[in-house]
Amino acid sequence: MTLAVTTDWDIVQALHAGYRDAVVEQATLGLWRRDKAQSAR
Amino acid sequence: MLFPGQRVVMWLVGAAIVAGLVLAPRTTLIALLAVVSLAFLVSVVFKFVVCMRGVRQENHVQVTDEEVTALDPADLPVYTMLVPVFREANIVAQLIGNLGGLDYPAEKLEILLLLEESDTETIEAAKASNPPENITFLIMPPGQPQTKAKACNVGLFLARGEHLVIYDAEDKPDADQLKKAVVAFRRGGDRLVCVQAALNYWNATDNWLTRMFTTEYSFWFDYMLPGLDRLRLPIPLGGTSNHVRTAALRTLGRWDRFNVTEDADLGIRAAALGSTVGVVNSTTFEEANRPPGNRVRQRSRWIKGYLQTLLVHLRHPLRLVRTAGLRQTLAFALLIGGTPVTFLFTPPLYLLFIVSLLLPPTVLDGLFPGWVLWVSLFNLVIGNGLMIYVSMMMGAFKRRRYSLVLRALLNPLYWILHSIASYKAVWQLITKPHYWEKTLHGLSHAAASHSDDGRGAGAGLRTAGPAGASDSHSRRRSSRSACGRAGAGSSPPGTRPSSRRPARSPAAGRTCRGSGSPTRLCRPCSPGSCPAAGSR
Repeated sequence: MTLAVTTDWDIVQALHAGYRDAVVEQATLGLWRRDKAQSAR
Repeated sequence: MLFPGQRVVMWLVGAAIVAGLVLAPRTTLIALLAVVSLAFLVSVVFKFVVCMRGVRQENHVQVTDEEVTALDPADLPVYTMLVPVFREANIVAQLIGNLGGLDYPAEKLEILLLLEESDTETIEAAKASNPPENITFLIMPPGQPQTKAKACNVGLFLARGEHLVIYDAEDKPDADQLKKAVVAFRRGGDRLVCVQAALNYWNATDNWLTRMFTTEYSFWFDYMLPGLDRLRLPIPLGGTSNHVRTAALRTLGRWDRFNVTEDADLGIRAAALGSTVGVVNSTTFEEANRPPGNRVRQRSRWIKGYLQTLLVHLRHPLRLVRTAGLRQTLAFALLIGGTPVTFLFTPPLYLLFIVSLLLPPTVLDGLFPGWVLWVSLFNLVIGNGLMIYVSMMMGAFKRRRYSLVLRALLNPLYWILHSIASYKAVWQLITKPHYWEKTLHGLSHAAASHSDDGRGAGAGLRTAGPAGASDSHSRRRSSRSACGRAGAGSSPPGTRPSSRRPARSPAAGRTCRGSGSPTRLCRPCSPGSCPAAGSR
């Protein structure tokens, strides 16, 4: 049996790693996806 | 980038001009000169009126030192600072030192240093700079686009502050700037989503170009923007030192990564959606460009961004008038459209003037009606004179940089550089609309001692002193943070020693991501290959 301790830090790191693509995609195309007329794309 | 309707209008206008030049060249030339001269005139008069309004604002200090002193540290909101850096290895240590000098409770200040994974040199320099505990390195994953707007959007996703500010790598903000922004936000109400601090230069006396740049910036940030604020007109944000309400920024749709002046666009978008943008009487000192080529690159990006912003917000002009109002729309068109247009038409008008000097008067009289020539002459003498005047008397005097006064007479030559940049901007708008012209920093020979920082007493900038230099409280805090960092960078890559576990912050009630908490926005990497490991 293995005991592990998870901290806020671990959770944040896991979220960053797991949602990397989604965050980057949102950062790049977020405004354009929401309203094409507002973006200079 | 152009919507179909805009494309049609542009083709129609272009075709009409070509057809006119072929079928009725004289009439077409008269019409073109008349339109350009009138646009020039209206734009200059608009800027002068706004500037004069800004002058009246001069004695009104938006946020006083007493209000800043009265702030209770316990009541201050958590503030997030986004600092995008890319290929700034030469100045990143200085930057971190400057940020450590801000007068704000460290436990309520979240600093996200936005780095690109490919930029290992800057990452290494940042690691070696012994950053304070509240700085988190956020490493962007590789891949295009590598733009400031994208990095800031990622930072915004992770930001936990109620307010948020962007600083550039070479920035030296006034020590109490964050507190002044907090007061401004509290006073401005919920509709106030952003406040812009003034920008100025600490290396004004480097060369001719930095001197001209400084007078221009003083005019713009010390008078134009306060004038726009006073008149409740849209304010195009500068690229740095804009403080925003984090939640409102998310509601507005974040920065547009396709616009190369994403901050100016955000300010206009906020106004178009019924929010307000204000200014705060605090200054951030930057490094003015020394080499002309660097200057033209930077200016061409700004002009291209203004043109992008103009085209974007005029996609639905009627909708813009309905939501923002006619007055705001006209001001937007004059400011964002008028600025590039005046730069674009300056060389032809100068040329026309030179030709008119060489030709007998009767030739031009035969070509153009008298009133068109009078308007052109008025623009040349009075229009240019007014702009030189505001640069001389305001840009130089307010910051007590009297040595710059006479140099403002050289503005017509300086504007030629703007014109070159504007033609480059138009060309890039067509060929590479989203290309980001990188401005090089760290080229100044001047010591970063603020020896000529232009902190005029009349500017209402009596702060705790130059950031990171004289604020004893900040110094103590910075020193303490640095002590807490001792030895943090010595661990093997890919490991996280127990000493780097984040500390619980009682004041903020949450986990601090300080020097012991590297934050990477990239795929998990193997030990020994992680560029961020051991960085904080």
